[in-house]
Amino acid sequence: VEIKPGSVKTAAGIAVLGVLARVDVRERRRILGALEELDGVSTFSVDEEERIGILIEAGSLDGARTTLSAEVEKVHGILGTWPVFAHAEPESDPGSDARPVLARTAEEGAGDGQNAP
Amino acid sequence: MDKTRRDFIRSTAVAAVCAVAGCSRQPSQRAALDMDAAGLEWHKSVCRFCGTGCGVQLGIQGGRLVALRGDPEHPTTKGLVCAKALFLPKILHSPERLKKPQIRRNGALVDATWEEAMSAVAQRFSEDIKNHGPDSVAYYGSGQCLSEESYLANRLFKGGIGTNNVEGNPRLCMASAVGGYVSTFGKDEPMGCYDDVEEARVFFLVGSNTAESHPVIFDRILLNRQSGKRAKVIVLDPRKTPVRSAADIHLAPRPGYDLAVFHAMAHVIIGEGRHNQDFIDKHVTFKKVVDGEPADVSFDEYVEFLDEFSPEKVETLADVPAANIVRAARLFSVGPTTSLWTMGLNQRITGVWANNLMHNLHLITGQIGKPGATPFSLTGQPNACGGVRDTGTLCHVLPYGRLVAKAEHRAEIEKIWGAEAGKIPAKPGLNTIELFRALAEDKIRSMLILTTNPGHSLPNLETYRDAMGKPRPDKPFIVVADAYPTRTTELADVVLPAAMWTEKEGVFGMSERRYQFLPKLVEAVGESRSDFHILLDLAARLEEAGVVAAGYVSSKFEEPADVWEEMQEASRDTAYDFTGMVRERLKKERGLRWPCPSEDHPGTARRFVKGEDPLLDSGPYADDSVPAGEISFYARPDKKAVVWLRPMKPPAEPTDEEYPYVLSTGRVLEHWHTGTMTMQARELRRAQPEAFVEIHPDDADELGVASGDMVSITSRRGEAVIKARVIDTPKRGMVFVPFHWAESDSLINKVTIDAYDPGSKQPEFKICAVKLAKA
Repeated sequence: VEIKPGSVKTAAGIAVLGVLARVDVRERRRILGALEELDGVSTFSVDEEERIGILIEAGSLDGARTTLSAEVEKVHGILGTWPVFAHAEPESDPGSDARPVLARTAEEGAGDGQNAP
Repeated sequence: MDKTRRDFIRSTAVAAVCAVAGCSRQPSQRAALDMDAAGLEWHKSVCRFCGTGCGVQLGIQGGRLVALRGDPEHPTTKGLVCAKALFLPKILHSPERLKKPQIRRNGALVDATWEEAMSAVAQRFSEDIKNHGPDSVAYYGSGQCLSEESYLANRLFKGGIGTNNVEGNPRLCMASAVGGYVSTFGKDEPMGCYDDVEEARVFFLVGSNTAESHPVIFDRILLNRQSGKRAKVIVLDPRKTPVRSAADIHLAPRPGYDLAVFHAMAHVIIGEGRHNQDFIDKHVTFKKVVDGEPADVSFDEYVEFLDEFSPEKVETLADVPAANIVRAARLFSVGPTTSLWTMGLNQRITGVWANNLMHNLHLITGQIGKPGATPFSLTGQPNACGGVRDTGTLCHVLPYGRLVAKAEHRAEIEKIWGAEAGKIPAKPGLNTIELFRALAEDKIRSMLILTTNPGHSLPNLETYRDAMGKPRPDKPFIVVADAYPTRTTELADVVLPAAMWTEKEGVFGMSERRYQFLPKLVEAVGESRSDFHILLDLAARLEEAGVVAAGYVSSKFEEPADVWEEMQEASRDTAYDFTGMVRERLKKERGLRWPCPSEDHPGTARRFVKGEDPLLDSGPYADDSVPAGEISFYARPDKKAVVWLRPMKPPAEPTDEEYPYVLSTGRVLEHWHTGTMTMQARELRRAQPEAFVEIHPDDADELGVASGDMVSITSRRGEAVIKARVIDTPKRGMVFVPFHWAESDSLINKVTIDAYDPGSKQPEFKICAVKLAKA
């Protein structure tokens, strides 16, 4: 398995997603080429031609997830992706912009009279 | 971050992928799977989300859950999980978790001690039971509680307090599937299993966005299609969901008119002689409802009934090309055919009928009870099957296929529970919608809500939010146990912080009748307690108050394992028998499928099949006359399944001039149900940050709406204002909105209708009439 160095930009943290992708076998070669062009993305073979392994590295899980949804899944010929491994340590910005449900509703005014904080 | 550590994590990720993919290579990476060197302890468990029941391995370090990976040794999901699962560690440790009980004082929720909170709950429940009777209180639970928790709640309310006002959110998602299985086959739950997905040569996906709602199952379909049996796929859905990538035939009916399509397929199958007469003669009866009662009819009468549903007539009625109906029918009859469906079929006023008609196709073709041939309802919650359906934690049922209305069933359960004879009322309680209507009328005085979010998920939502939270004299008392703040906790009088998932131990039962053990691996955050211990506490206090018999719960149970033993006994000699699933065995195995009547039984892949189903060999359903490999629908009195003649019935609220569009609701890959968990993971939230409404380009042109515009969606009940996504996925005249987002303008259930199926009592979330305007 050849894993390219990746492009983790945040020295403080690392996040890694291991992903299985199902691909159109007729497009396999082109898909592999397109994926290898993506920043922080490495590919490796698994036994089945119809599937490929993808390693996504970023400074946070958020970044890795964005790479997956905004770049990897957009590559033509990828039929589906199934991330099967996630690991992050430590994250530089864990949930810093979290806007949980009640916070949002409180900001809006819950509209139910008695429960406004 | 040192390089060695980074490389190690990379290698582990690669190894995890290879393990899931079943690679024969990469021994060095396989070795890296042993993460003990990194100080991690790995434990097997089960995903917290949908009913697929994916096996996961959880990495625990320093008392925290820090990593999750698919479990490659899991027999059915084989290491795959979806994006949601991978963020469970973050979701579990979210800073937004509720950590202390809260009591509403002067209109605001304020922190309280457990003693204060539980004392308030017990006092109010006791007063209401004494002053207004047992039916003045209610329980509303969830397909996400552990089995032992749902069973205990059912036991406390029905056998302890003496009310059948016991409901749960599976009423909103699975009730029609239950009604279909029961009315066709005699008992609930699928007879097939996930193994059938590998054996099928035809898939019939109906009202199921399998790719986004059950992505791991969808991968197995793709695997079959690409390199297995090379199965063909028929999709029946008015919306072009992502499953279309795998569809050979897409039937897109007008919303609500799929019943006619089922009948048209049957018309073709019989008309072209593609039915299995031998199977029909041996295993099928035909019925229709006459004056409210089932009546036998003949095969010929069924054929005559189908005359009204020729493909050509149905093309006009349902807007599906006749030629495609014919192609689909032919393909279906070739098989082996596995049908998979979810809410598109269930959340309808004709949900039970639609389920019946699905089963009809399998029965007339004999596509059932053999590898790859089965009608299989997929489940949306991790424990709707094992926790609620099987334990009978709904208003009309009792554990393991028993009915409230049957005196002998009540007596059996009262004996098992140690309840006073006659304690369980003979009359079923109120179904979910009627329960919340009674709450609005202040007839229900106190309600305990566990692990669910009706303040977001009920249809015609404002009515029921008012029922729970609108200030008024002598307002009903609402108690909510949850792990997060939700649109329901904000309405509660008491909020109890609940332990979740791997903070407690118990059993989940998923779609294929597989019961799986979840170990407790970390301590609950803050002062959170499991629903099990909340129920134990409440029961003890109600015993002390004299409204539940002394010792009814408190003298019998200390831990979930104690309840499990009683559950096993309650299953003995029923069609659900899992007496062989002792706790220690479940801890070792990666789940077992019932029936499993002895500790050496491996579990059952296919029910009702001689040689596979042990209940045909011994016990009350044993039948030596059935040859090996032959099917016997032993849960029916005559051991024959029913083909029902169900008429076409339009939706509860057809479109008209004032409300010309059909609204349908559903899900996206990244979020789950009301988003209380998935919105805690920033990655998932960013992937799908806001609600959207899909509008067909032709409709958008007429409305002058472009993608990104805000659109007002108004029904006779309410309004939501949501960003437009102009796309040709919905059929023209139909709009689609996922229901995950909690912002007030995004609460699409303010718009949906609370009309429900008269059989299953499941509301018609999938179809209502709306008007649209650029906001």
